[in-house]
Amino acid sequence: MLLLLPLAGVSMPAAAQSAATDASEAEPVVDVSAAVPDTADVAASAHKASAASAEAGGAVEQQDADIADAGSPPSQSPIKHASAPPNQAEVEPGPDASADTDGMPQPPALEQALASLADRSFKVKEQAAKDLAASGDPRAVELLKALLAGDLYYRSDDKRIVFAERVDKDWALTDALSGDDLGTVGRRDAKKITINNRMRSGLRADIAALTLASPDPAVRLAAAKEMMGETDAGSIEALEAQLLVEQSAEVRGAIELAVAIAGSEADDAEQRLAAVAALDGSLYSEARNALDALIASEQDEAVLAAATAARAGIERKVDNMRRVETLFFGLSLGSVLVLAAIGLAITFGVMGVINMAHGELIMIGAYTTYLVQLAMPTAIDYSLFVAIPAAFVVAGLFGIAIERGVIRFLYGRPLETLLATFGLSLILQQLVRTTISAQNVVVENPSWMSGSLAINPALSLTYNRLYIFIFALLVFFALLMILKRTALGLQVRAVSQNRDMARAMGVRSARVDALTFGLGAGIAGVAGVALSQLTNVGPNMGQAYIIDSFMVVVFGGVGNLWGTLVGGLTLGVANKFMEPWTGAVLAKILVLVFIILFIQKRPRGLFPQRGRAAEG
Amino acid sequence: MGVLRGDRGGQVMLALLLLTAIVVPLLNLAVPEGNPFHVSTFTVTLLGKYLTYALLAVAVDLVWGYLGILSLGHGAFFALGGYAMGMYLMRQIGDRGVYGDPVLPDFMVFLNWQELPWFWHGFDLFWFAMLMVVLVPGALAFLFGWLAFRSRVTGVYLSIITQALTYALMLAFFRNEMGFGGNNGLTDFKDLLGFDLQADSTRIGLFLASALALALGYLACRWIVTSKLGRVAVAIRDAEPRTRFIGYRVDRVKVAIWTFSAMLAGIAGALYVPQVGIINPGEFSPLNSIELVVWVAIGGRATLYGAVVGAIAVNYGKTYFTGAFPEAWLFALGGLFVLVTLFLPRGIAGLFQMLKRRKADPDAGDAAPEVAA
Amino acid sequence: MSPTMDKDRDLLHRDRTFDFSAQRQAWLQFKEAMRPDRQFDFMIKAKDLELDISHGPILYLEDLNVSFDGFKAINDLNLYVDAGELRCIIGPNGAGKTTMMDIITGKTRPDSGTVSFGQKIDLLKLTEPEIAEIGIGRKFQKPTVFEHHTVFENLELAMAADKRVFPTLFAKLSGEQRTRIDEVLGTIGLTEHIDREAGALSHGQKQWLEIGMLLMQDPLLLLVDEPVAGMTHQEMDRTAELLMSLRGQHSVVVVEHDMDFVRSLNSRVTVLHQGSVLAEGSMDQVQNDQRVVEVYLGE
Repeated sequence: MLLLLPLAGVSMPAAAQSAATDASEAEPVVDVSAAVPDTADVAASAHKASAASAEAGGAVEQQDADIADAGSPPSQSPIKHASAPPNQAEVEPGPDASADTDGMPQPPALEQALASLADRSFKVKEQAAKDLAASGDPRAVELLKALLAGDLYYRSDDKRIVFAERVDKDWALTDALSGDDLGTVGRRDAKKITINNRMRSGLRADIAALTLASPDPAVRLAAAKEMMGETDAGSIEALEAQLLVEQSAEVRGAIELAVAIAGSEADDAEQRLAAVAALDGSLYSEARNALDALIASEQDEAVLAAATAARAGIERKVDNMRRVETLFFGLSLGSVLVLAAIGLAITFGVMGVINMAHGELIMIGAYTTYLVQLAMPTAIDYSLFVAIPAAFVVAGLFGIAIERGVIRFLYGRPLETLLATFGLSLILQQLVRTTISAQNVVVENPSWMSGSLAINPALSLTYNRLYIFIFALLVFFALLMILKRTALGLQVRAVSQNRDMARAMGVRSARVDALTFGLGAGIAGVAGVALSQLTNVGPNMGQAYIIDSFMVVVFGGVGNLWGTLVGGLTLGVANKFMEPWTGAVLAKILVLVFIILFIQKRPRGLFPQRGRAAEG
Repeated sequence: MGVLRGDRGGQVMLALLLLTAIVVPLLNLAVPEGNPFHVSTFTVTLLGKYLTYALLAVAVDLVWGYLGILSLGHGAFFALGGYAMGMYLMRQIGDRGVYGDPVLPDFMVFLNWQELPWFWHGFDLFWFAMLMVVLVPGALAFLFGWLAFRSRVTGVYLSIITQALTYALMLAFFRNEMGFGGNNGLTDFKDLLGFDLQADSTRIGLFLASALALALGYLACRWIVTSKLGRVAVAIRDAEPRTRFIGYRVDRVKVAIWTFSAMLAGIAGALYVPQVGIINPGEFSPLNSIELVVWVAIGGRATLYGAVVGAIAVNYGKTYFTGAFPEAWLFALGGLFVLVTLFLPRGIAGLFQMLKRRKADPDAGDAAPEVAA
Repeated sequence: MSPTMDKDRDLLHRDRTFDFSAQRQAWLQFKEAMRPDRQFDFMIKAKDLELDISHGPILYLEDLNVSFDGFKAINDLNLYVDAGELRCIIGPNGAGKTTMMDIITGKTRPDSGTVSFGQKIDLLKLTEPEIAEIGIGRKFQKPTVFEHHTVFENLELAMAADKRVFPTLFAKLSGEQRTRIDEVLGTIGLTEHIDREAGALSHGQKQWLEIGMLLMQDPLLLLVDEPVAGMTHQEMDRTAELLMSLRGQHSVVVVEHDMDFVRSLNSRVTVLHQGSVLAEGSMDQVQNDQRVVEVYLGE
């Protein structure tokens, strides 16, 4: 993966870089069906993917980044870098991909058909394309697509079929079949394989038929989606043919939609009306576009009314989906807040210690993830399972050291504790700057955390957020169990309620203090592992969370873990629901102002501890 | 003067301040450049900056040392005072900006704004801007204090919400839409009351103004802490409920002193901005506010003059370190936080007092009562 | 208490089965803060309130209830203290003595019940400083003096005066006030410690200083929580003497554990148990009451 990084883009910030990494990582999986590594395509689609994720998932990234880095100038936003011009990406053949095809005997049918494409006669070429389609070779589809897109060239001297990319005034060639790098040739030494309209429509139909016939429903679905709004008579035929035998409901839906979109452009009003009925309720954006186009040009009143009604109905549905999505983003942000705050809920809530270095313990957890990944570069997918316990131990040890070295001398002097731990936070930040780097570092996402769970065409939940939400809940309940069910938990609660009494009962309070603090710190470290998957990892990352974490704990009610959970999720959701109206930064400010006012009205938070001891 | 009775530290500090205010301009203006005794204008401005920090530290000590309120947001009041001054200086630029617009500051022209936002009106008048320098921080402090102290938010909670306050303001001022220049803040100032800000004489004038403001601010704070109200403040610091039970409106005492302190911080900010030539949202950063608390802690809480000593000492150290070993500054600052709280709870001033007592009575030195947290 | 508020409380009572007590408390506080007549409460001078003791009692506690997390600290408490009376309150730990003091001085708000000073002043509507201002002074169980102030300053701060912010800022000590302080210093026997920091005093001296502060306030009603804890016998005798000398011009409520001391005060005694009055009468009557004996010895 590290090898591929420099290819995908130069000096991107971590967020964009990891997006690009995701894309190039995902690419070989997609390309397996083609087995012809089209490097130009890899690079281009890597860019497309990174740009897309910068827009879709990246919008989320950016909102979070806004929250995390509101202090830093916006030039760090991933979008800007992700949209770097593609020609910056130096293209080289992917080593893994070429290894796959090397030494494998090429099926003669495919080779021959391909060779015939270099012929001047359209008739020969048309036949060659048909042969290509009929070859049954899995790579045929990609080649046909490239032919249709005009990406296929032949070398003038030996008529070898190649992909070509412009490098200055020359062509950089790669073999169309093997993906071997063929070096660069002069401008006149490679020629584009031209096609005519007749061939074009034949190609579309062939590609449609080929992909729709794939045994993999995901490929069929992708094919149907690709054809929406891009159909002609040939592909419609293929679609309709597939509809008769299609088993998967999802694919059927997509095919029907593609047909309906084509129908919406029909000359016959009846046909258009039927198409509108088919489009009604679909969440595909193509359906909305088709309806919009129809409404803009429609003459027939009945069709217009039906289309307008259908469009409004879809809009309502989409709005609902957006609300669900916002809720998901809110819960996701909330789970991050909970993770960040939950360690604090122990040190501040249970022990009453103000630990301003809490954010830096989170940072230590994130850097532990980074170091773990450095140590096991070939097993990134498993790195998190190593990183979580490692971060717990490392941050926990730091915590114990802080407690033994500083905090224990300051019990009962909260303001001094606050200052001393703030000093520690500065030291820890600088320590990371000097020993590792002052820049942000790249922590990679395991492959199982990238991608998203598509609930329907208008709603998909990214896996990383989903997993982190679940993870936050797991950590929360684990902690709850530790406090409720274990001997340590019992002792912690005893010491926090009445130190002298607990000591009289034989609890070694100093040891309990150290362990409790270590536990809180360890959980901060674990939170750091999770955060490393969502935001930039850098020396300042902890500072962004410290105020938020305190707000969550104080809002939820000090000394109450459930309060922290409810408080964190509430604030996250509130933040995300405000964002559309106010923008990310203002939403954050409003939440802060709200909490400031809230604390003044209810100094003990949502779920206050009561009792005479609590009556100040 | 009555308010300085028994305040040896303050007397020495003010005497030194007076000495500096006389000697430094002389060495700058009368001694030619190249002479080893010449003080460069850069140094004068640097000293002037330290003096504004010292005034800010005195304001913090007033509420922390004498009232027990650890504010982690005093930087916000400082910055607001600075912005008020910055807005005046911006308006003074007139049509000499890059875009030459007679009314709109450059950044507004850049953002395609057509007219001056309402809150920028009046800032072309010096007296109005100066009024805002104290009123804006004062009003914010009053509102915040009125809400917080009335609902008896105290101790660590209060510290954290003051930090949230300055954090929220920082986020807000970063927004271009706020109309305060966003990221870049306000800069490229030309002149103040017609005096060229780059001129040596103006720099010395600002330095003297800072010295005067520090002296007056110090005396005002000293007057408050030696009054009966000052004794009530310390009573609140030490035993808030008790003070309430003998009939003092604790919340009002707090609001009054807190607001005064914020105004003082605003004045410090207003003097700071023309000397450094820029004000941007970074001044609201929670780190700044917490750093200035450590000046006071190092100098010695509840002494007022200790705050001055601490502010100047730490900032001198910062200037030195960031020049000589930029890497080490945060280690040094962080270490100061830890070491002072652990080993020097009464700061440099406490050290002085201890030495003095040792000299007077070698046995009684250690028995000095500790200042409560 | 207005009828509407009673109704509100009734409605809210039902909620208590689900223990929304914290929320309810907050709501009541919020309502209290938002009451239109309270928005300008700084315009009403608590001192202007008229004390009406024509019916005898200066302090009425009626049907008081307070609970903390389900634990009933005060349970249907009814207690009256006459003007000029010296009253002792005894009771085992957790009987609700300190909580009762907290309610009278405004530190704790009861769940239900009324507390009034004289017949007309509803103490539940006043804040701690206002309650102090209308003439109720309190000495805490744990001596709380201002440790970093001198003995003199402690008394000066407590002295009855205009305690608003600006008058305090410009306050100058008059000769009369100076005399008064000297007088009290004499009474509490701390004349020679006038310039010592209160934190450096012995436990007993702190107790005395706190009593002195109470005297400086010149209150109509003194609430004295365990005044002789940590005192020698001689000091105790002097304290008893002092408290008894206050009888008549002041009403005094003394909470104490030390039975010898209570006996020496020779006053009416109220026994609290589990948040309500168990017995009341002279020390002898109370000591012979079967229930009291059971509470103290039996259990």
